[in-house]
Amino acid sequence: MTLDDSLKRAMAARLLEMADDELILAHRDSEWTGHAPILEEDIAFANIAQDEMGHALIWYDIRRSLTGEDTDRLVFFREPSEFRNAQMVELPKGDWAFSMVRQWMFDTWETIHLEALEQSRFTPVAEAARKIRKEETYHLRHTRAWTRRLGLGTEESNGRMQAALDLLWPYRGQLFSFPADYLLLVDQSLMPDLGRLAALWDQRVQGELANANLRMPDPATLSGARGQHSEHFPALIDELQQVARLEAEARW
Amino acid sequence: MTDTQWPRFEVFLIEEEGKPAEHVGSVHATDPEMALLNARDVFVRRPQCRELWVAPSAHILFRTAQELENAVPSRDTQPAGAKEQQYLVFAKPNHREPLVLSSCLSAPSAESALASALEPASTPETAMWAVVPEAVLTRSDSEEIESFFQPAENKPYKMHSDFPTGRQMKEIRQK
Repeated sequence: MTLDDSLKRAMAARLLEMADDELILAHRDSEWTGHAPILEEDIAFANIAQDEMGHALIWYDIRRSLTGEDTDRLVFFREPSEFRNAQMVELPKGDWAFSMVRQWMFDTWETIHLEALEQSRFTPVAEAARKIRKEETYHLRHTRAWTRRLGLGTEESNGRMQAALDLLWPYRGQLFSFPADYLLLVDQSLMPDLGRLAALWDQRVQGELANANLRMPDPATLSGARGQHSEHFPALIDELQQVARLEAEARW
Repeated sequence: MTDTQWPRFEVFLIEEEGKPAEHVGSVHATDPEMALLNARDVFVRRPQCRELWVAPSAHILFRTAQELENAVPSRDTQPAGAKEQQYLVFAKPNHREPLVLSSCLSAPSAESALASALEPASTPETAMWAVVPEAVLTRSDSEEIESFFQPAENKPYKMHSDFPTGRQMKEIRQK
């Protein structure tokens, strides 16, 4: 279906959030390359980082088809304040438990989100969701296995997992937030009702926490919508963009 | 020397339906699930694959042609308490080619299975054998093909020459 101008604007705004989440998480994940606990996991997690980067590119490209914006400009020449990712994905990589809990929380979210996006009446989004979900099924299997392994492991591994979970928990709310005119898209069955998906996420996460011997943290939620960033974000963007900005006219 | 690595698992891969499983290498893992996932990431990121198997190395009997010359295995080898079970016998024709599944048979021990595999006079020249008890093998599920192997199919290698960067850097320098 073709979108009128107001739907186009709303769709572009939402696609930017989705793409930015993937991009920034991919960047944080990639920081483990060369540092993961064992060689095989180093390769596995680098693969996951690369996959998430690929997903970002897919969402940016659909956005470009609506706005005509160049994707590289969007990634490498925006100011930190212009990024729309949730803060959860920009937090420093922490220890292995922290990165595993974050990736698992995100993968659980992404899987639920993609299942719903497959039903979108906007064909490019539905088709992309079907493609991405194949990879996401694997990611979730991988991070769920780690969540159980560390949760059920030693006192130390369980303690580190619980600490990571407690720290990340308040950030979950931003995953389910959306831009001002998003409901226009929901009305037209172009995008899913995120409130309903959030409830589903809660349910799946709770079940899995029990399997991994981890406690549900207090329900506290971080205030602040997307577009607000942590103190760690400018340094991340600086690193992400520094090569591209050395020679702004270069084509890669 | 103490080995601080996690246990080793051998990895076997079936490229496409109808082809025999081939040994592609090994991974370290704490359990078969992790071994299978690691095998997927290490060995199936790009090449074609239908199915993956992993088996703990410690449970596999390896014999080179030279070792077999020095000690011929006997069909009657049957350790106390051993039960008849299924074994997969892999053969490596020479040093360039991988171990490939050659037969699957029931035997009271790995040695005995190897002796049976060696029996036919027409056995082709083999540099090395590996005997894997089927019971210790973990296989990828056919329902997992979609998430395990399909994504790799759309990811061709990109050669460095596909990127214009080198030429461009030269142009920039000349400016």
